[in-house]
Amino acid sequence: MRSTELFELMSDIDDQYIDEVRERAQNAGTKRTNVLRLALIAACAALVIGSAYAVIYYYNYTKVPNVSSSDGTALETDETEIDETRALTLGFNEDGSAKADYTALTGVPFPAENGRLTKQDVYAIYDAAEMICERYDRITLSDGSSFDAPEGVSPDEAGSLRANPEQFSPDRLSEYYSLLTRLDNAVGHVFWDMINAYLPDGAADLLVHDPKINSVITEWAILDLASSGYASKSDAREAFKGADFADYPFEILEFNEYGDIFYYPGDSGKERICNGERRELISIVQQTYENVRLRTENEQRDSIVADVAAPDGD
Amino acid sequence: MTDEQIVDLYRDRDESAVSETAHKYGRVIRTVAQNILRNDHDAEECVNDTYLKAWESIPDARPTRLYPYLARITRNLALNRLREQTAEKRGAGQALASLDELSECVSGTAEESGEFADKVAFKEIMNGFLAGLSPETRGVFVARYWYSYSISEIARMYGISESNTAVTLFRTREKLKKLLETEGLF
Repeated sequence: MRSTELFELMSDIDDQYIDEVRERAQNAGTKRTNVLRLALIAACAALVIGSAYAVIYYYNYTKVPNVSSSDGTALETDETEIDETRALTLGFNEDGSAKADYTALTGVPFPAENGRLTKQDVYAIYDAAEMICERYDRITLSDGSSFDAPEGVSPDEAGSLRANPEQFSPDRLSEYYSLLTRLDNAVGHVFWDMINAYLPDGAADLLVHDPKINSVITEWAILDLASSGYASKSDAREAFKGADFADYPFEILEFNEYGDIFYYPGDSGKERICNGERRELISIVQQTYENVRLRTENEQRDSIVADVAAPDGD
Repeated sequence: MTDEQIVDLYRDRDESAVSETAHKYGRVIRTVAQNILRNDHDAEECVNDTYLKAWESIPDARPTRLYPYLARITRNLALNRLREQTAEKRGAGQALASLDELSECVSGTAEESGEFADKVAFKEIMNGFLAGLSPETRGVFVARYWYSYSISEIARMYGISESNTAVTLFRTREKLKKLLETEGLF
């Protein structure tokens, strides 16, 4: 059979499958139209609000009030300093900690040491929240409450943020952290549990059960593997590369510093592995490690038994 | 107007059947033709041919779901037209790209080709295969290999990344290849 025949024979598939995609395409079109409409409304609103602020700013800060003292002489007035709190940008210190004090900035208690975020913390929050935002429009929690997921950033924007971490927006970070905190409170799983145990039950299933497990989870897996008996993180990475991925038709190539896994799908160059497969790979590696650990324990036990069974002549 | 009412118009040889069809489904079946041909003029002709075919065939046929019936006619007409264009070395669209991808699932050469004898059996196998896929994977597969949507269009429709879409298609083709091997159709 030729591929042309296969392609033509596919015309005869059930009506319902043809309809499914048409409905999907229509919904996507409607959603896109709605997004454009909202963007237009938002732009108009921003214009109106911006104009209002400009007028207020003009009268408050550029127009020096005509104030007179009781003796009739004109008084000089100091120009009021503009509150720059909202203009803070999250940069990173040389030690990797965030420059802005997140807790002070957002009012959200943050369980990071000294109340300051490391670069990885910020990435973790962004990645986990992006994953949710990409996947869900509205999130319903186990207690029945629900809320809209924030609009996620586009892949291009995400790439730009990666390249220029100083562009991480405190507002967006606050919104994302709030999202994760709400998940955490409602279902009893702490976000940081997810970091420490990258395959949790229950609440985190919301995150990891569909093919959108986030990239940092691989990194956590490697860290976890490294901390559970492997000499170093680099050894864990190597073992990950060397694990038996017989079911996967591609070669694991490399990891980047964020835990993304890349592979060669063919001749088209390096590609990032999709998130659902990453989780499967982690599972395979876990099993591989567990097998190695059990074998090592058995060998040690056998060795001890052999030593006991055959004491030396002394 | 419901599908049933439009079909009745066809059966009554009422010419408003065509305008009602165009009103209800003209845009979506045009997308089917456009995805394959990537040419406005050709797509428009294809849609008009679809109405003509429907006009000719519906007195005998009585489709319960009008859209798949029309879309299937459009797809076949577009593929015929694409075949003629390819023979004339004119440009072709996404259909050729998705055709290249599907060639991974079959090994037959041009010399080995021939009309596949049992279309009914193939239809059953294919529908069984699609039924076994998750709704999202099935949608991505049908969007690519039935509708000939581009990878980026599918990614947008399903809210997934293009890379994820490509990997999903790759893995689904691998599954189909194994099934066709098992069924002796490879």
